Amino acid sequence: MKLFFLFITLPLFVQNNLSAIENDISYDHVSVFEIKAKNEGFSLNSKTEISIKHLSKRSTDISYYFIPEPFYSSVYKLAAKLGEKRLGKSTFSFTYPKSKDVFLQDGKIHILNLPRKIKQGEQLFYSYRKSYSDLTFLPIIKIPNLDYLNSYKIIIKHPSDVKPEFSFFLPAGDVEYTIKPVGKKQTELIFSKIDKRRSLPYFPFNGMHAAVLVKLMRGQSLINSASPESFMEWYGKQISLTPSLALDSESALSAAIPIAENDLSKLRLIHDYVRENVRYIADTRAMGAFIPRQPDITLGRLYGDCKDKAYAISAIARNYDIKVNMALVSTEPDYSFKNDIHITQFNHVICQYNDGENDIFFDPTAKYCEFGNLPDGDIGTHAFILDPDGYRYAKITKPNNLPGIELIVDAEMDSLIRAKATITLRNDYLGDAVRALNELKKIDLENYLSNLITSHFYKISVDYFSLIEQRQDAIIFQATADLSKFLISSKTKTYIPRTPFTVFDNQILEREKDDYSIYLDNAFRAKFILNLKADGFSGKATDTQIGTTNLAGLNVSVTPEKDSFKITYDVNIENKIYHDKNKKLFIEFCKSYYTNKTNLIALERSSQ
Amino acid sequence: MKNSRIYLCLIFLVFLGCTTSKRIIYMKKPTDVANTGLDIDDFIEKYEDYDGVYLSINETIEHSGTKQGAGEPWKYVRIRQIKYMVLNPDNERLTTLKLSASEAADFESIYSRVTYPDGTIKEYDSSNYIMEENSGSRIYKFIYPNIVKGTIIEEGNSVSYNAWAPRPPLEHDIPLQFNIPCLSVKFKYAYPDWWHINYKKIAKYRNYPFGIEKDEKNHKRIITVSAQNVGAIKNELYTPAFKELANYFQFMITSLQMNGTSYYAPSSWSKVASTFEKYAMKKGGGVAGFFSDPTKEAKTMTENLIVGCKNNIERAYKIVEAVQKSFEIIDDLEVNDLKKVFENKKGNIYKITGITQLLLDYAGINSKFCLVHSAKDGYFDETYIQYSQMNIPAVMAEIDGEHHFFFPYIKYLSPGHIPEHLLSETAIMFADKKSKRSTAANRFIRPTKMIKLPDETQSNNKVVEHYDLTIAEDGLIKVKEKKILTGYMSYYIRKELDDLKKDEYDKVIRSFLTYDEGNVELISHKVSNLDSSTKELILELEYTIDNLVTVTPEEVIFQTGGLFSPISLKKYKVSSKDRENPIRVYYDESYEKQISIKFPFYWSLSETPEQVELKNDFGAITANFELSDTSKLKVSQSRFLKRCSEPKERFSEMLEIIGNSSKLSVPTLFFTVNPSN
Repeated sequence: MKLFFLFITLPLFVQNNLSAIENDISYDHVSVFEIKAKNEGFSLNSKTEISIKHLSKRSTDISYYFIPEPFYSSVYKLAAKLGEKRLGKSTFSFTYPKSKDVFLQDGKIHILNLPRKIKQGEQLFYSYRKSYSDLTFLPIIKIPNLDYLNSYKIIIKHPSDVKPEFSFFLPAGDVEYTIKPVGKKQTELIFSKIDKRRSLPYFPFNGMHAAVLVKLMRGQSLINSASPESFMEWYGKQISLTPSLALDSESALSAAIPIAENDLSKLRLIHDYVRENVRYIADTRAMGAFIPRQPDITLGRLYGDCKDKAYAISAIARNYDIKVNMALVSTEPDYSFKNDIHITQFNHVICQYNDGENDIFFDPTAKYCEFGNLPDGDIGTHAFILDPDGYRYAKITKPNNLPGIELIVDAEMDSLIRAKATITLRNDYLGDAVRALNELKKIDLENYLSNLITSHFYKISVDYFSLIEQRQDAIIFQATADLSKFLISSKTKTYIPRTPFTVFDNQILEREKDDYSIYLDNAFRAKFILNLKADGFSGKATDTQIGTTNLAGLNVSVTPEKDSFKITYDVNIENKIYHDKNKKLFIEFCKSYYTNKTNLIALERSSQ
Repeated sequence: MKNSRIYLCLIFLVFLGCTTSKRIIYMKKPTDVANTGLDIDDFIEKYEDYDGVYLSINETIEHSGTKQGAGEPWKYVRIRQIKYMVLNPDNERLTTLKLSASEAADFESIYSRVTYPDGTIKEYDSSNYIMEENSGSRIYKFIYPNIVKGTIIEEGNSVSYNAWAPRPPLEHDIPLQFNIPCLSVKFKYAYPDWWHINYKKIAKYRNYPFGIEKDEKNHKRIITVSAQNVGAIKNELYTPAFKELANYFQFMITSLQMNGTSYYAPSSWSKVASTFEKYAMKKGGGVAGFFSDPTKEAKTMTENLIVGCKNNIERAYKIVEAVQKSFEIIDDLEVNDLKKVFENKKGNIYKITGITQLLLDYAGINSKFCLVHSAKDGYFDETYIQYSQMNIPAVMAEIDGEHHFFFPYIKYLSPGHIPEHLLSETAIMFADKKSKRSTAANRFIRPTKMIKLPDETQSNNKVVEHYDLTIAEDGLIKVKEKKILTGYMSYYIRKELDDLKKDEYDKVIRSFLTYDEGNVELISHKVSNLDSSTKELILELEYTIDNLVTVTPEEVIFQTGGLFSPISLKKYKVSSKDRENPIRVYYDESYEKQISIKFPFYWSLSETPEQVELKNDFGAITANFELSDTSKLKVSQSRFLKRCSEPKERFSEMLEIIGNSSKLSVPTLFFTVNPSN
């Protein structure tokens, strides 16, 4: 049975005296973290108890629960009870999770396999303990967005000279909580009775109400690396931040570097070598999830993950007295804790170099991204630069403001199906196209390129590609464009859309009603120039601006020329994230964009 | 002294009666240079479309042990040796090793050898590999270093098992085609010569060719199967199931004896059926025959369900739908009686089918429990009697002289709809309850009969869409959309809407809006017959769109957007000359759209779009436009794709139907404005 609330079924529910909205579960969670002084440091252990009452029928379809065991912890004393019955050890199994990005790892997942179907109204209780290898790994605690969260308790037992403080990330506004000291050796943080928050489009935090970072203070000092300073200190103990590696003197790279023009040219050579020759395979065993392998190992076996590559580049560069640092970034929307930091906030490592004036970032993991440019996922993030001379944060800005797609179409009114198109692809589109050229053939390649372009344009299709030029920073194709549906002709006029791009769907307009940020998958910059030979047509020069160019905007200019028109469209969605006032402006742009769909450019047929 | 003589005689007798099939096959590590005779550059060019090429695959399974009593314990070993060239070093699967086996396995030997294009060779063994231990299994992993295009990797492993844990498979299905090309594949199966094997035909008069060697000394028979220059499997639209196309070798053990244990495969389909019968139809402990003791609740349920039904088809559909809704499917291998299943409202697919057959019986409908063969298992060889060939349960009901087939454990599947992989397939039907069992030996065997399922589904597979548009003089459009779905489409949407909360449900409903560009204001929505798989599923949506119509003083432009055809011109080209697989369309696919557009009376349509009609052996597309009065345009569009099975050479004709939906599109309508009207 499902719960659905059509008006035709509502009477049925009223009749049966059911509440209009039934929660799926009632969820209670208690995690007790115990910090004890040990030798010259501290030990960290936890006990977690979870109780779930299955209220709705559909919640009884669940047949297993997961308990993660990351590499920095050990899980033990797993126990479970279903209804009144204690479940045996055979209820639990474990596996190494299969990950798209990681081939080797230590982390496990324990699986609680329910031996039978849960009954509606029945309670499941399970618990486990964890010991952690380092206080740094005291995790960020995510308060889940469930239907329904009855209570979530974090209890920290600590020495009397240690005081926990909490830092909160609240993506969807305030959430009520209580902080309660219990004597000198225990502090509790409690969330209770929180309803499920509705899922929103363009919002990546639908799964949680809050993220909590726990800082452990002893006097004025932080003991668990939750500040940038302490994190740098901790990280610097794990690995040298000034690696150096001398290349094999017979290698082509070691011959090329000394004769390169300047430091940037040298870095380009090193970067290109690593991105082209070191294949991406992640081995995150032991501390490999956070700490790179030694550069001689990475270059010796020619595989590694992002941090292995970045570290190897840093080491090679340093050998030539060029200072390149690793920079930690998050390519996904990240939670931020003002001045605090946690190692798990970052999921990617790139390189940073300062030329005396500016920070230059480069990403050797992006195989087809040229030196000096960055894949879209890195742009807009805040990088934490692991500079041994002093950490700092830097916002990664766009290396260039060039359009990712530039489409120039030369068309004639009486031959709109076969217009000549020249397509220039840059940035991520360049990478996608080069990958497709390398990995796809024939019809698959044609389809890929066609859809790469066509998916961004309204009623324009592009086919029959031939490669004209391939450079480091761009790739140019010639193709055939079909504009027969794009241009609209009546007996007296031809109309051309003012909004040719498909940039977002109308779910975005739902976001007008809330106060939270909008998160897009990508920023977007494109240019479309239509050179239309149109004998016997007349039209006015116009210039239309929708939105604002430097935030989110579209500019359309129409320039009549002799027997032809040049229509230039330039769209720029500058950011991936829009907050506060910028969010309002972005929504206004979207609304205006949709409204301008009917604001067509009209070319009048001259009377005979 | 006398006792020891007796003992010696006994021992002598025991061993005299022992027949032993000793192990004869052991893995040999390759010693030759891997790229001998290979022109790597030529190879790379020839196979540039692929990430890699198998140069050879050799697999051997050998069983060894003693026929009776003590002696050599029964063991089996699996040896696999592959050799392939890497053409895309970024392909993780081809440049890493991953070998898994149960924790009971004994890894006798594992090796890898990497030969680089420059001739350098590196060798690895288990001391280099990383081992992951999951519950009940082990996985060896390794990342090959320095892989470049043209590198050849060889892997070999020999894994043996004590045959008592885990028990060895008694049937083998050996693929002889893969997702990358393969120059040579060889499979060997070595077994004791007192065992018996049966081989499955892959087509009516065709076995996959194989050879048999005899080793009398070691009491061994060795089957060998091989293939050369095997092309890669290609995924294409409208293609038959893999085993209907690809090469494979399938065989089973029909009898074996080892260390005093015997096994005999069922010798008839009736015996296969009887094995399933005890899961599906046994009631209570020790009571043979399910029909003789029906449950009171089942009778009551039937009586309640069929109230008001006018005929047997209605009764049958009501019953099947009720079972779909009321019973939960669980993986349940217990031999359990149906009464308990009925009470708990849960059971495996066999029991649910058994329950349904019981209910139909009580409704007075002649019905039989069936087990169906699937097209996914390739050709049905009647002489290859094996459980895996017939393991999909169904109920056959005879109504008004016609056979109807139901799958009551597939929730939301329209009764009468037959999944595509079962169309035209053979089924075992359990015979009448009153049939006599001929002999004492057969007294536990349920008689059966072979039948064929229909070659077309009994329910419609159709989508009909109605659009009523009203355009106001300011350009605002009000749309009333109604979608009527039957068959597989209704099944998918019911599944998608199953068990959703309100906000999830609303989100899914919005995704059904045909037009989603612009500020669409959803006024109302309604879904009818969501819970009733016997009826059409009806989705009704009412909404307004404010940015499709441009009103100028002289004329009005209506950009129809997705109302006539999809907005996005995203498409996938398919090339008929590159087509490799034959064509199979399992169901008739019918799609109809009825559109009515009402506009202000003082507008007039500038030009009525042209009719479209195209027909060929694969189906038809049509579009008709008609001005029904001065301010209403009626449009009807249809696309019909016929169920068929055709050779690949006819794909270009099929493209005329599936590739030309854009012929139905009318991107813009123009109206002239005559205020004087």
